Amino acid sequence: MQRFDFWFHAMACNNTITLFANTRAAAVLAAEDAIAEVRRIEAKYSRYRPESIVSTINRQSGRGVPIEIDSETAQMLDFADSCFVESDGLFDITSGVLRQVWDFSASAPPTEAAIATVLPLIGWRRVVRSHGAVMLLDAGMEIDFGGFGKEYAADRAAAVLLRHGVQHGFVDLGGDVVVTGPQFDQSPWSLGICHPRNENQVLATVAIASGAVATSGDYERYIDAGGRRYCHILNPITGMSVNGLQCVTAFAPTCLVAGSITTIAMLKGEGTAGQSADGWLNRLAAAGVKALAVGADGVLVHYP
Amino acid sequence: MNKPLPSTFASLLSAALALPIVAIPVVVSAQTAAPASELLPPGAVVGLRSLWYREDNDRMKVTAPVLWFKTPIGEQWELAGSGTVDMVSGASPILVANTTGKPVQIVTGASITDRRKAGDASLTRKYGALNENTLGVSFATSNEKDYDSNAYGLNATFDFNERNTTLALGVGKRHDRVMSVTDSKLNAARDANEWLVGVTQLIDRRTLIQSNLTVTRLTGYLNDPYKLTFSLYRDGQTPGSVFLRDLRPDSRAIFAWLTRGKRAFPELAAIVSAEYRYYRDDWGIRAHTISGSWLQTMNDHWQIEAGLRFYSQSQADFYRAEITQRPAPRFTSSDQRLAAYGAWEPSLKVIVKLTDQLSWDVGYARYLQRGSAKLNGGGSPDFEPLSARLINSGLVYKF
Repeated sequence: MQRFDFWFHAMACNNTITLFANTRAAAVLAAEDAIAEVRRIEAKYSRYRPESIVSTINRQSGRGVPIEIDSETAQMLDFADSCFVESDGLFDITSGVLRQVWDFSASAPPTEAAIATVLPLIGWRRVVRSHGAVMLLDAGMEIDFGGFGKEYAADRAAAVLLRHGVQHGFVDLGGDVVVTGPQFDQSPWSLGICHPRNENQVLATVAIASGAVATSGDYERYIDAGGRRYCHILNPITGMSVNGLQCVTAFAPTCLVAGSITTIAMLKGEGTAGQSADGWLNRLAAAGVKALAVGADGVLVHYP
Repeated sequence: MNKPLPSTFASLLSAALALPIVAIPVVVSAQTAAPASELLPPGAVVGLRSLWYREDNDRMKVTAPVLWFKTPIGEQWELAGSGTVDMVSGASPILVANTTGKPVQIVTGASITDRRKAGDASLTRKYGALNENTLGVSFATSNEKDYDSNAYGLNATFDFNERNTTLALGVGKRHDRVMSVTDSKLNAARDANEWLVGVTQLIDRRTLIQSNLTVTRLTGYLNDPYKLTFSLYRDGQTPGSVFLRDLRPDSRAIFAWLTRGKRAFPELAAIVSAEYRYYRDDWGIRAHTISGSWLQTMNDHWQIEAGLRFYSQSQADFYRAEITQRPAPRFTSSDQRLAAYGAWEPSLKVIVKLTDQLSWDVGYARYLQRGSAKLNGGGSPDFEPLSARLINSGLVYKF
């Protein structure tokens, strides 16, 4: 068994696949299949591609025309529904319209008046699903899978690797990682988690033999203005940038779940009593979910 | 509203697993926080630094913007370099005359404006099982109207004693050419050889002690081509020529021993440093430098450093501001830098971390050189006091 590393660019990220295989040919075959799967998902669900199913659904918003969807898309929407319900409405895949007023290359956040113009277009409850079809009730509504598309692609790529018999390897899509199994000598992979305030620094290293990891942070896209950081994670109810956590990393059996946990934790942020990210992560820890988070004070907390 | 979260987790997981993906049990054996410096090689750093030096009587103003960088290349190599264009302007004291009965420095000639170009580069390779040893080469060059310099160096460090002890060895060679804007025939060699041996010892996690011995041998034209001594004997006779040229021995052996200590006080968020340097050369100069500084971290963004340095030297055997011997001695120089004097230098520096990557610092120092400040007295009586202000400012950007 020999180690092979593959690098590729997809979903606006630099990605890697690392695996142990007996021959280079076997490694390439497995990696190429997994990369092709990532590209398939990107093409199918990217909101930037006019031919994607997401663009098609969004174009027909408010026209009263149900759009036929395949079972994969229907299950993605089911997962979105679970995220919405379990987050008490904070994780809402219709909140992407906020991007029309939030320009993270600008020097200041949008005004409340500007945010108010798009808030009426947000509302998962006005996405109607039935019998393999979906419809956005109001004209101008949009859905997007930016919140978990990459995590899904990481899970799918790992499933492809496992189908190829890759028991020792991992997929890393821009920090969303799925480990199919330890290195060939059974030692775990060492995973470095980026410091939220210094990308050249490692916040923590994690020895992981299998499982999925996802990280969310306030450092990817943001506006620093008036002594406050406005990060790209936006509350769908207020339209405002969330605060409370600098970053959070969670471990779960699938990257989709790990990613939804971190996104919901970021959205909960400071929260109100019992609804904070800390409360959420503590209660998940009781269910065996490991996580680590850096709060607004810069202090690293391990869950459990 | 808080649902029992195990069901939340189960519900997210079952929704996820409706998709064609695989659940992989999480096996995380350790989560250790570790400072980055131990895990990742530091990234590249670039900086810009400027120095303003101004004597109280407006003599010699220097502005030197230096652009420097340091970058790792892979895991084992490091490349560093810097470049500068200095502007030196003002008049230089070139004549010491005793025509008024007492030797005084006379500033003569047109003001000097010179542009000095200088650059250096070094390449270091780490090696050993833990990359604990280094081997480096360096090159430096500078060029101005009346002075060219090229220097080469080789240095090595070895870590042992579980990396608590570092031994440093270095050799250097410098070839200079001395010219003169007032004497077009002058083009003389000045060479230097330098050897260094040093030990750095980590006493505990907070305390570091370093000791370096440096031996330097200079040969060739060591005179200052601009320096003249205008001296009359008391009876009005002149010692040979009216203007005695600066003439020094053509070799100089220097021995310097530097010891410094540093201790961090985390409970005070402070780092205290102290340093002593002993210097002697075969021109008769013995010098002591004592300095200390206190670096205080105020918060995530601000640091303040206060420092004080004291320097004292005895005079070179052939230093004289006034010629009294008959006949005039063979070697003579009225260069104040060879006189007996002392100096105090209090300084204050502010370091501001503007962003995670960009920091800015500015330092102010007052430099006071006096004959009377010499340790144990005995400063050259004719020493012209010198007071100067130094402002030093830099920007550092880490990638």
